[in-house]
Amino acid sequence: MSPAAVAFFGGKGGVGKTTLAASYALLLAGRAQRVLVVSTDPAHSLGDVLATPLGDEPTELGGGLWACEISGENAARRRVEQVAAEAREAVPREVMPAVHHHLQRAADSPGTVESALVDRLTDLLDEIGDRWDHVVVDSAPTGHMLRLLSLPTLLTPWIEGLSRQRERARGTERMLSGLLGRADQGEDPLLTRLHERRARLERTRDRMLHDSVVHLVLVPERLPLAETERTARSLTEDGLPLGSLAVNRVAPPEATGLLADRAHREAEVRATIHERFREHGVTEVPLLPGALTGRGELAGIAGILAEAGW
Amino acid sequence: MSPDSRAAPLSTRNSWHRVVAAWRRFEAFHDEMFVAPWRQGLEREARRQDDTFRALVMLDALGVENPVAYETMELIPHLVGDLHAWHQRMGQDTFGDPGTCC
Ligand SMILES: Nc1ncnc2c1ncn2[C@@H]1O[C@H](COP(=O)(O)OP(=O)(O)O)[C@@H](O)[C@H]1O
Ligand SMILES: [Mg+2]
Repeated sequence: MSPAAVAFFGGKGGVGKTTLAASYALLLAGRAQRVLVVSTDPAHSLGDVLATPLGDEPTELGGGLWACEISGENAARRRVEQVAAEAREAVPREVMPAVHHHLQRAADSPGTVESALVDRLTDLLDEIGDRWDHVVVDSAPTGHMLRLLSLPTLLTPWIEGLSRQRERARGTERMLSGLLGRADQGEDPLLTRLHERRARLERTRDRMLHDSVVHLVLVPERLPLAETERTARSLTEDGLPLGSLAVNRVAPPEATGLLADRAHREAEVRATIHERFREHGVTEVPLLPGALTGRGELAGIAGILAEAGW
Repeated sequence: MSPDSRAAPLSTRNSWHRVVAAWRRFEAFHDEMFVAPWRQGLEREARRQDDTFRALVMLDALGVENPVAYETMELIPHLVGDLHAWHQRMGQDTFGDPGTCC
């Protein structure tokens, strides 16, 4: 079976999401796939791991690999500018201060940065099949990723409600126009825009539900395991497909000294992880020496993933 | 029926005019009795529907958290134009912080 078009890497901060996401992207690129790896973590470190500066626009790194670091704040700012520019063409000049005021308010609204991030991600996902075959998402820590994944599903009915209200208002207006012998005003630009927004959200929701996989990453300790189980449950409830779990930084069993102690403690937790997540697959990545930055170093991890059947 | 062959069409025409005039009067009456109130009701209804939509899009301006503020940003320029008439209808003489409207 070919891998899902989109792979999200999620888990607590510092467990190895960025390292594994970059390694997995390299693995896919090595299989003659065009791959984009994108960081959605406001505390970006993908550029550091790939040892190359990254921005909002995908940078081609060669060998079928692209990478970028996207930001909800920037996306929201760009949108405000774009809407304001369109408004300058369309509304009387004296209305513009009020337009700016309300746009700023929308920009400061609590959900805006996350919505803008999903919107930017949608742009990139829309290019699957065109610019790339796979998108690998290096996510922010758990709560943030869960919200991002559930956002399209949460917002779609709201937009639908707005469309319905607008249709109702337009229906009454049309009846009135007919009665007064006025010409029908034709297509409603507001309704058109609402329909476009809904179509966008639905496209991304469908991609998340039907063409994505979420790889949870954890380290072999008891507390992270409990959190991972909660996250897995929440994802499953939302209908998001869970992929192989990655247990990262596993102490080598043949270790001596301090590490031997650690390996001994990890053994029990690892056994529990294997038992709980067997149906999804569990891959162990050993604790590795070195800085783990740059393609050369990541290739080793890519190899481990390949061997585990990724 | 008139025996005058030339009067016949004329009287037909006259009666036709009478019928039309009566119809017009009836129409005016009907309009006044039924259509006008209905139209006013419809106008009120259209405005109410429109106000509801505007309030839903501009929840932030009403001090209510709007989860789709980002998604509906591009509707704002279409709605602020007649914002003033709106908030007066909503029974508020002035509206929001300075800069929001008047
Ligand atoms: N298997 C590993 N062995 C040793 N160090 C690792 C391993 N995986 C990740 N690291 C290191 O752990 C730190 C956190 O990894 P990172 O991928 O940035 O985590 P996250 O993205 O989940 O915050 C980095 O310094 C990284 O080099
Ligand atoms: Mg990271």
